[in-house]
Amino acid sequence: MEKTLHFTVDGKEYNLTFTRATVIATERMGFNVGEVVTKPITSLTYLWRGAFLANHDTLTIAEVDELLTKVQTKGLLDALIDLYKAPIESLFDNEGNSKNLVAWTVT
Amino acid sequence: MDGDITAIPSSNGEVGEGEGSDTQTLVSTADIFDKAFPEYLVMGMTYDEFYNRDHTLVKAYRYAYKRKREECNRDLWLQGAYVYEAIVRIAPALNPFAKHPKIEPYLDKPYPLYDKEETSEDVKSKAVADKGLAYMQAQMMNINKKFGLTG
Repeated sequence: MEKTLHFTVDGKEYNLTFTRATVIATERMGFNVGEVVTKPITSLTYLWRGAFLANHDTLTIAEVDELLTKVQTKGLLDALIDLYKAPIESLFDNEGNSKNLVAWTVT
Repeated sequence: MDGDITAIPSSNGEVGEGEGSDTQTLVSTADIFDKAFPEYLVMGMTYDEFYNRDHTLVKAYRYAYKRKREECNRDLWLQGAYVYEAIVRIAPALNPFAKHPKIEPYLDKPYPLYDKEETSEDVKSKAVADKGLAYMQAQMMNINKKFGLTG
């Protein structure tokens, strides 16, 4: 099951996600994963707009940007990056040969 | 299917270290998708499924394709086994020095696909067991009723 980000504004439910087509579209809009650290707000805006393309492509950019002002932004960039990278990661699935890979930890 | 899909393109200037250059040219996400897509086409995935639908579908396709290949491999093995069986049975006739070769007929029925196929004797013994179980349950109910027990 694909990852989705759910929220409700004014009684309307939104389910944000990325497909491979919308990942490409988001990058063509200007999103560059290499600029996430240096330009987090710009990246957030691009990812936010791109995440609407899969299920809510009838909304205008103005409407989408308006919704961004109505949701909590804490942790939002990380969540959107998770959504964005999921279609890419699913291609690099290494379940089959995981026993040959080196384990790593985060401290 | 394993290596090709997940491999990052390299040594053709698309990604990795270019010759005589210190900079790395990163391949775009679209290129990664475009490169992987033909592999999934082979597995039966459509353009719409790959680009527009649930991105986790690729895992199911990979698994299904692997299963299909395994089944195909098993079928080919089975075919070889039947051919071998047939040759062994007809082998005496191929001996030019045999005066009265004894040829065995081909198999009456195919090899069983599962470890144990249910025979008519199995069915009979199961019916007997079921009958015994029903009798025991009826006896228990009678005893419980007699002593005023429930359940």
